[in-house]
Amino acid sequence: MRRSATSVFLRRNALGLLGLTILVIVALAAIFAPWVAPYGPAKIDLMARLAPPAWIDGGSLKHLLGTDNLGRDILSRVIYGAQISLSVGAGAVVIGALIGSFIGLLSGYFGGIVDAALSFLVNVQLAFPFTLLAIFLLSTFGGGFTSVVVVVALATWVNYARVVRGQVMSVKNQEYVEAAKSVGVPTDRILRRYILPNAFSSIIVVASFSMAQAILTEAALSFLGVGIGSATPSWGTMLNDGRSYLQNAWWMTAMPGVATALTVLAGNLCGDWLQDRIDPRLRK
Amino acid sequence: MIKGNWTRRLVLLAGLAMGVTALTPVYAQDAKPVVIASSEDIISLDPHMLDSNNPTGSAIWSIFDSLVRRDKDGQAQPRLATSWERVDDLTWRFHLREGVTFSNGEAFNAEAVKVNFARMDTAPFNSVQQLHDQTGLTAVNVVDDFTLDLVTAAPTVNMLYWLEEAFVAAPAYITDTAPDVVASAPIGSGPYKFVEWRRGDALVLTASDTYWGDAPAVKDIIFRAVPEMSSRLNELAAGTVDIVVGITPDAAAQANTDVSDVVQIEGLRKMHMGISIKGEQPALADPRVRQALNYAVDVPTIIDSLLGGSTKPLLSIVNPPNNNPDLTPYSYDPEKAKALMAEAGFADGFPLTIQWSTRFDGGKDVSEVVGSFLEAINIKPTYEAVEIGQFREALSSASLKGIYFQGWAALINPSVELVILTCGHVDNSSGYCNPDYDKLVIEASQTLDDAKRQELEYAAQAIIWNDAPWLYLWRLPNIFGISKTLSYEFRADNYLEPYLITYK
Repeated sequence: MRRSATSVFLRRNALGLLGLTILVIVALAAIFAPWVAPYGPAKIDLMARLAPPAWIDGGSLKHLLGTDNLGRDILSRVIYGAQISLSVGAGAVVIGALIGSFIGLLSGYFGGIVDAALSFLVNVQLAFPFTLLAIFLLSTFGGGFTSVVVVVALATWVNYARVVRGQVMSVKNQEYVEAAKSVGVPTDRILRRYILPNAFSSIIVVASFSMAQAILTEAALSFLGVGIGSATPSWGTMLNDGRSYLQNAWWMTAMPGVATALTVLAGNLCGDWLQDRIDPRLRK
Repeated sequence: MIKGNWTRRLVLLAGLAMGVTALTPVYAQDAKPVVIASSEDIISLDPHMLDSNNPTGSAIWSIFDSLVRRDKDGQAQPRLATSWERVDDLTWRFHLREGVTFSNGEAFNAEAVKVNFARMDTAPFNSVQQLHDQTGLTAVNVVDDFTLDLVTAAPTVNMLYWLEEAFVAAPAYITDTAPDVVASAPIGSGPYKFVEWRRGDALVLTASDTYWGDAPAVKDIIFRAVPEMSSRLNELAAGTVDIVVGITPDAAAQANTDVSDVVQIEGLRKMHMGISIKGEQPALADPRVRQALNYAVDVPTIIDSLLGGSTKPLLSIVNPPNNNPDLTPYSYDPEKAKALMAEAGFADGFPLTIQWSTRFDGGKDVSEVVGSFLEAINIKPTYEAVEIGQFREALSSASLKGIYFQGWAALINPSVELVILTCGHVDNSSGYCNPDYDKLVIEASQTLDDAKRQELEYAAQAIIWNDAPWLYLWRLPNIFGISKTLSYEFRADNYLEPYLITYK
C-alpha cells in the first residue's frame, strides 16, 4: 500500500520534482563552482581555441563542452555563469516581491484614490516596453550586478502587485478583519497579521515564475551588451560571444543556450507545480 | 470562333510575359546600386571635419576633390591641381584644372581654393583640419584664376600630404549655408554627388553629371552602417551587400560564398592598447610601468592564435620602410615586467580599466586576452565596452580611463605618423607630452635634406618606443568581402574609392 502511495505521489508530482531537481543541481553547481569547475572562468588558453565538445571529432576530455574563441573552458564558464543567473534571479525576486507586495497591499486595502494612483503606476509600467526601459536605465546608470538586479526586479514587481491586490481585496471585508478593526487593532498590524498571510501562497507562486523570467531577462540584457561586465561569464554574454562563431563553433552558443533553457524550464515547472499545490484558488 | 480563340491566346501570352517580367529584377546589371557595408555610419559630410578613413573618408573622397590625391601606393596624383612646383623653399605653386564645376553649377578657380582653406583655419574646423598647423601655411596667394601660391613660414616636407586632406567645396554654398546643412547635404566637384543620408543607416550617392573626369563605372553607391560583423557577412552571402569592410581572420572564410570572395591585403593601421597617461590610473604616468605592460603581453602568440598569423607585430610607430631599424618589438618577458613594476613601486599591481569600441571587430577579444596577460603581473583588469560616439569623444579629449584598443595612421609618411603623438595633437589620445620628442618631429618636418630628416625621424621613433605611450600590438589585418560581379583593388589605408570599382 505504502509503495503505491509513493508511486501515486511521484506520478502526480513528477514534473514538479523534475524542475526542482534541476534547480537544485544548478544551485549546487553555482555554490560550489570553484570546486566543481575544472578551470577558472576567465582562464584563457590561446593554444586551445575553439576546441569542440569531447564527443565530437577533435574534442578531448580536457574540455568536456569544448572551448570558446579565446580557449576558455565552456563547461567552467557555464558553471560560473549559473552563479550570475541564479543570484540575479534570486535578488530580483526578493526586491520585486518586496516592492510589488507592498504596493499591492496598499492598493488593495485602501482602495479609492490610493488604489487608482498605484494601479495607474502599474499600468504605466506594463505599457512601457521593458527592454527599452532596461537598456535606457542601464546605459544611463551603468551596468554592474546591482543595477542589473534592480532593473530586472523592475520587470517583475508588477506581477506581485496585481496578485496581492486581488487577494487583499477579496479578504479585506471578511468578518475577522472587521472584528479586528472594531476592537481597535492598528492598521499596520491588521495588514501584517490578518491580510498579508492570505497572499503568501500566491506570492510564492508568482516568485517561482518570476525567477525564471528574471534569469531570462538577465540573459537577454547581457546578450544585448548592457548587462553585468563583459568578463563575467554570464550565460547571456556567452551567447553573445558565440554569435559570430555560429558557423564554425556552434557549441559556444549551444551550451549556454541549453543551460538557460533548462533552468528557465525548471523554474516554470516548479511554478506550475506550486500553483497546483498551494494556490488556494486552485485547491479543490 | 477561331478569331476569338486567337484573341484569348494573345491575351494569355501577354499576361504570361508580363508575369515573367515582373518576376525578374528590373535592374540591368550596371544599374543596380553597389552597397558597401562598414561597421559604422558616416560621421559628418562636412569635408573639413574629416577624421576617419572609412566610411566617412571614402564618402568625402567620392563627393569632393582635393588639389592632389594619394593613390594606393601613397603617391600624390593630380586632381584639381594638374601640376605643381616649388618656387623657393617657402613657396609652392599649383596650376589648377580648368573647366571644373561643382554639382550646384558654381565654377572652380583659385579663389574657391582660397575660400575653402580660409574656412579650414577657423573654429571648429581647425580642431580637425591640420593643413595650417602641420605645414606652417601662412598665405594663400591667388596669382591668376588657375594659378595658386602657397607660402609657408618654414620649409615643409608635408605640403602634399596635408593637401590630400584639404577638400574644396562649392565656395558660395559653404559661405552662405549653415554648417549643419553643409555637413548633411554636401556639394563638391567629385565623381559622385549627394542624394540622401539616413543617419545611422545609409548614405546614397549617384554619379555626378558635372564631373570633370571619366564617369565612374558604378552609377549608384550606397554606404551602409552594419555594426555587426556577422550581419555584414550574412548580407554579403545573401547578395544584399556587395562589399564588406572589416572582417576578422576567424570569419574570413565566411566571406567566400557562391556570390562573393574574400580579399586579404596587408594593413597599415597600427593597432595598440593606448595608455591613458592622464586617466584614472596615475601609475600609468610612469614610463617603467608602461614598458612593463609591453613586456607582459605575448603579442606574437596572440597574432598566431587569435589573428591566425595574418599580420605582424609593430616594429615602430612608423610603418615600414621608414621605421628605425634599430628598434625591435618588446619581447614577451613577464619577469622583466614584474621587475619594472617593482622598481616603479607597483609590485602588487593596480586596478586597470580596459576599454574598446565596436569600431574594430574583435576589440573585446583582444582586450580580454591582453587583460589576462596583465593579470600575471598583478594588474587587476576590469572591462568596459564603450559606445562608438562616446569612444570618439574620449579619444579626442584624451579622457579614456586606463588602456584602450585603438588603431591610428593607416598611411606611409613618417612625418605624419610621428606627429600624432606630439603634445596636444587631436589624435594624441594617450595624453603623452614630451617636448624633446616634439622638437625632433617639428624639426624633421621642416628639414628638406632627406638623410638629415631620416636621422631626426629615427631619433624621435626611438624616444617614443621607449616612452611607450602605447602597448604596441600589430598592424590591422585588412580583410574584405566583395561580390563576384565586381572588381576592385583594395587599399591598405582603408579608404575605399567607389569610382574605381568596375563590373567584371
